Amino acid sequence: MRGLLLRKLPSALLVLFAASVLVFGVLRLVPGDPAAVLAGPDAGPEVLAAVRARLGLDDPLPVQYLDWIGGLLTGDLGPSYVIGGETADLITDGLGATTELTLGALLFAVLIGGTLGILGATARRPWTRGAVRSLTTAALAVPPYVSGVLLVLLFAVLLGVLPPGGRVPLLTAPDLGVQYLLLPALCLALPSAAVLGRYLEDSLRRALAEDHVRTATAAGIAPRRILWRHALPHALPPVVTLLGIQTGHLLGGAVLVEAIFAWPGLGQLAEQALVRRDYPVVQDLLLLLVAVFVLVQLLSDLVHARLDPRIRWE
Amino acid sequence: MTTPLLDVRDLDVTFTTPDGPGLRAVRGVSFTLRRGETLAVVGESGSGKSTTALALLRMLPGTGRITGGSVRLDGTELTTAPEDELRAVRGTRIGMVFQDPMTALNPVLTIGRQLDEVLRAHGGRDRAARRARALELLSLVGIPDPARRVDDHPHRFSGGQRQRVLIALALAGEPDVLVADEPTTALDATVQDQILTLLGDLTRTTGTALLLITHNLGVVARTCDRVLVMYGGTVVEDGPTAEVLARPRHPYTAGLLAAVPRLSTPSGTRLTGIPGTPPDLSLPLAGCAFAARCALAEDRCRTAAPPLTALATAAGPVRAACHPAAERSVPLPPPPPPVRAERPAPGPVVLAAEELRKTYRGRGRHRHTALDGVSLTLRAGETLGIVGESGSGKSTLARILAHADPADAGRILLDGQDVTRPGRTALHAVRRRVQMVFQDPYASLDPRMTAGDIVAEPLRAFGIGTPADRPARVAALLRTVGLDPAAADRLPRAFSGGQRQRIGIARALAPEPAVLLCDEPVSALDVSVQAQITGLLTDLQRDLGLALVFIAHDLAVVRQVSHRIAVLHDGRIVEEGDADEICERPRAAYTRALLAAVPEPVPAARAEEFAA
Amino acid sequence: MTSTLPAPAATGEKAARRPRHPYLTALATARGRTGLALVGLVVLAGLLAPLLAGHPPTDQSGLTLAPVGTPGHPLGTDDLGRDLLSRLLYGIRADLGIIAAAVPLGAALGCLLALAAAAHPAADTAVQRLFDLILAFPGLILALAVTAALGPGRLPVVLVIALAEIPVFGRLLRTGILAQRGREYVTAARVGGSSGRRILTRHVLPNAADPLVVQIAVSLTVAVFLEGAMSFLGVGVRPPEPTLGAVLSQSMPHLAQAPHFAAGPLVTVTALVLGLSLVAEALNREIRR
Repeated sequence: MRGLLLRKLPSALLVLFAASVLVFGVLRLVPGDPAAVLAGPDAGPEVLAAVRARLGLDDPLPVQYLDWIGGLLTGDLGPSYVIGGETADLITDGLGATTELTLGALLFAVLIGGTLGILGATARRPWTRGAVRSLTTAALAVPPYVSGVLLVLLFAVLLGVLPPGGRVPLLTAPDLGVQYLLLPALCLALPSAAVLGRYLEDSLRRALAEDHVRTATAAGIAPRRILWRHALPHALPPVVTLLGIQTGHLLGGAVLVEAIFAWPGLGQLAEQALVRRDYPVVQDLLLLLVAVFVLVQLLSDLVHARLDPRIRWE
Repeated sequence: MTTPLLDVRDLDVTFTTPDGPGLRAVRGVSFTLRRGETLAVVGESGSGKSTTALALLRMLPGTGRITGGSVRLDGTELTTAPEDELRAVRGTRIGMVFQDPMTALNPVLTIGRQLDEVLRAHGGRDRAARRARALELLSLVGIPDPARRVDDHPHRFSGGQRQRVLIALALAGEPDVLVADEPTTALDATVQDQILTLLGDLTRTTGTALLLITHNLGVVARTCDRVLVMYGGTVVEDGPTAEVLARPRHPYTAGLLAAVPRLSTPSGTRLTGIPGTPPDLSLPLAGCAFAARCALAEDRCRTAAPPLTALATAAGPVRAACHPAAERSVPLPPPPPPVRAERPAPGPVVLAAEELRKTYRGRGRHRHTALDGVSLTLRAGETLGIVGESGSGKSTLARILAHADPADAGRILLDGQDVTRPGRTALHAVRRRVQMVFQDPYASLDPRMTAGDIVAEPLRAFGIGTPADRPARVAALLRTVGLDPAAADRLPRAFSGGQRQRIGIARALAPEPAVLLCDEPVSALDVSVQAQITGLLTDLQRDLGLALVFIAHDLAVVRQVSHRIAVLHDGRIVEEGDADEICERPRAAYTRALLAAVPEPVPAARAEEFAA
Repeated sequence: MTSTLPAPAATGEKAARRPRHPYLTALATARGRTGLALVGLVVLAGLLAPLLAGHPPTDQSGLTLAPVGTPGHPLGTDDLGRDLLSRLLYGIRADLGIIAAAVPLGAALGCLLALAAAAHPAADTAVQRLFDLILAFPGLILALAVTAALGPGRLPVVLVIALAEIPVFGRLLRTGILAQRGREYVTAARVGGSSGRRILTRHVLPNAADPLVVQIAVSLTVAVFLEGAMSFLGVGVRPPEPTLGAVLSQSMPHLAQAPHFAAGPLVTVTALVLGLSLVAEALNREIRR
């Protein structure tokens, strides 16, 4: 286990480092003077100079880079000139909302995907299998911005049972918070649920066709127990890796879903910062999201190894 | 006589296919098994032997269905029993052991857990008692230090040990019948020997009846009192093992016995394969399944299916499904004694290897020495047999001699010239002289190329002939290996295993090589086809003066085709010499162990009586 | 000699000589046909946009949020009085243009990198780390990064889609090449004297290509998703030019009063993606047999 971590960690750190350089470098390539953008069109030369000094734009690039990374690591991100307030506060505010949304979606994805996958792999009746197939195909065929619109139309506009957008934090008011969370989390989860379901179905189907399942059947073990205690543990490890990758897609998709449901998370912050060209905030956010994703993938690799003894001993 | 423990009558199994009438894999099979009896079901691939075994417990794969007949266990009908009743039979009344120990255990569960699951399914309520029983079972099947090994995962065990664990799983429910489907096919001869001994001991001590499914007549002779020979989904002969194997009544049994290489058969002899291919099971069968390949077939054999008829013999009841056999009072005449093929004397040395070494690096510091100083010489027109078990380095040796992998140290000499690390042009020249035939006739042909293109590939690579005359050359090559040239535009999947191996041989012959390296060329083939391929190789050697390196794990085949034999063990040649000499007067302890482990279809004493 | 060796008739005449290409067989299934029909319909609508649309897509009339069936505006008009049918058709056209440029570009670049990786172990390491780096920016986060640097527009959308597809195709082909290289028939070809280039082009690549074909269909759907999402977020193609995502995004505030506003692009996107998924599934099933 530790060996695996030691083997995986360097490449994860390398990817993180490269990503940070990329984010840093690309935003320096933006045409125009960032100070001019940040100070606004009417700023005089003194204001410009002040902004430049505050951002450290006159320092050599490596120094700027190190300052930025140092700030990230210490949590001192400086003020946001365009949006206003401390960048660190903006991010902390959004982080809670996005975490809530992503975890909610992850839960949905695992529940729906798991159900569909197991049903699809074990259903005997052709029509059950057909129904599962159609459901996953439909969930895959409808982009989140379409399903989001449809969900709002159905539950908020036509039925009026759930709010069309906004957020009440789950921790302050759980009953109300859930109502607000339900639609966006479902919308975000659907594509991942379909992908997970397909993959689990495939993996489980293959596990059920394995010789060791035949061994267990011949030994008189009940089919239900074979499914849960023999085939599923064998089918699960690769699904965990996929789950790690899907978490990344949930993070990315959150940007879109937050826009649809006016969910005040990091995605909304990113969109706002992008449209208003608040580059320091964009830069911080991008690296944060990438770092979370790389971490989640590392974690899923470790869990995969935990579940599959053959990897542990390699 | 008491009622038999297991009574199978007129069993029919059909696999439905999306286009067509379905595949009748088992056709009217009947047999009985008494308490404590050992019965072998023997046949080649497609004979329906494994399907019959799986049908007993209604565990047919895919679209397979029992379409007729009955299976009675102590009088209880199993073919129509409800699923949960059947589940109570599985494991407790009938236990099963499957072929491939590498895949038959769940890789993510410890073996203790897997044993525990089975014990739990059969009502073991007390956790501690189940664990104690698991340890007991593991020591019963000869796993050393079970208390330490019980919490290990399957990949920590060797192939033989895994097969032992599988036997423990099958015995956990204390069944009355143990069904073992090719339990030793994936194992080395020495391990096979241990597993067969274990099965024999267990059935004797526990009184469990054994139904052994195998293709290996030697295993049958070694393990079972009674044998059932299957062909084309039907039973062609059954009776006491000693009687059936010594005095076969059915022409198929006789043909099969004649095709099996014996360890006692001297070098340079030729086996008679059974001509033709097995019947297409998707077609209705009018007469005897074997009629199309039978030299003794009469008109009625093709129109009326022969019933399994009891024949009076001295040794006990033998039944054969053969019209002529039913009327004959004496057994079939014994096969002609093996004929020594005329072999020209070997010429000068063409290929030599000196002190070859190869080490593979695994993850981390783990290293595996595949070859540890191997030297050999090969003369024109000579066959050098190389025998070894899995992991002995024999395939590595073939790949290095073929320049598919480089050696770490040592020299390879071709016609006296050092070709160990040839340059680009030199390598091309070496390849033209040294060609290779591969083990797996499925993996070694590009699935997207037609047979003709595959054979033409070396012609193009070595610039032999013009594009215009290549088709004629390809046709000639296909004819040389006994294939119809009209098959040139078919894809590999349209051919049977033996036919594919012929394509592989034609490809290797295309550049007119002096040396042919054959890496387990017959181990993936049925016995009757094996004899065809070894015969072909011998003929090619005689006609073309080829030098052959024949690599195999089966000593009997190697002795029969080789002039000289080298025994490979752990990357070293432990013994080398004249083929007959090595098999009759082995010097190395390892060679003796290897020889002792080979099961012979007919016990030596009986073979002499046979010859007399 | 041939007397002991039977001239075997290859098993069964139904093993046809020049068998039909498996892709054609796959597309001829019910699933494949439905998929092709759906995709074909949408593509046709996009191609014929100038003929079918009665108005230029950016022309504003006095009629805002006209309902379906309004004379001259069969699908009604949007909040600025633009003809919705025309915007839908030109939107399809714009979308198709983007995905038809971006997906092949990404696939080609990915395959080139995979081939480079196959050539040398050092290149392999470099290419793998590059793929890891691109994959560290999942989907829309990549879109944010690119548009942060380049601003919104058609080119960034193409770039984002192409970039996102590079590691997908690259990894697929790299794995395929590695798997095929280890197969025995490749060793056989090598021992048979075939050159490295011929082994790659004649043996390895044809056998490694199947998953790529399926992936193209899957990637086209991902491209439709990405374009729509970027337009929806306002970082895609610049208004007033219509794309499917842009029209949909515009319709959001008017959902309660004028649901028909969203109907056109909703149905179109779903049909296109469904069609592509069906084609991918059909191909996948046939190849795996």
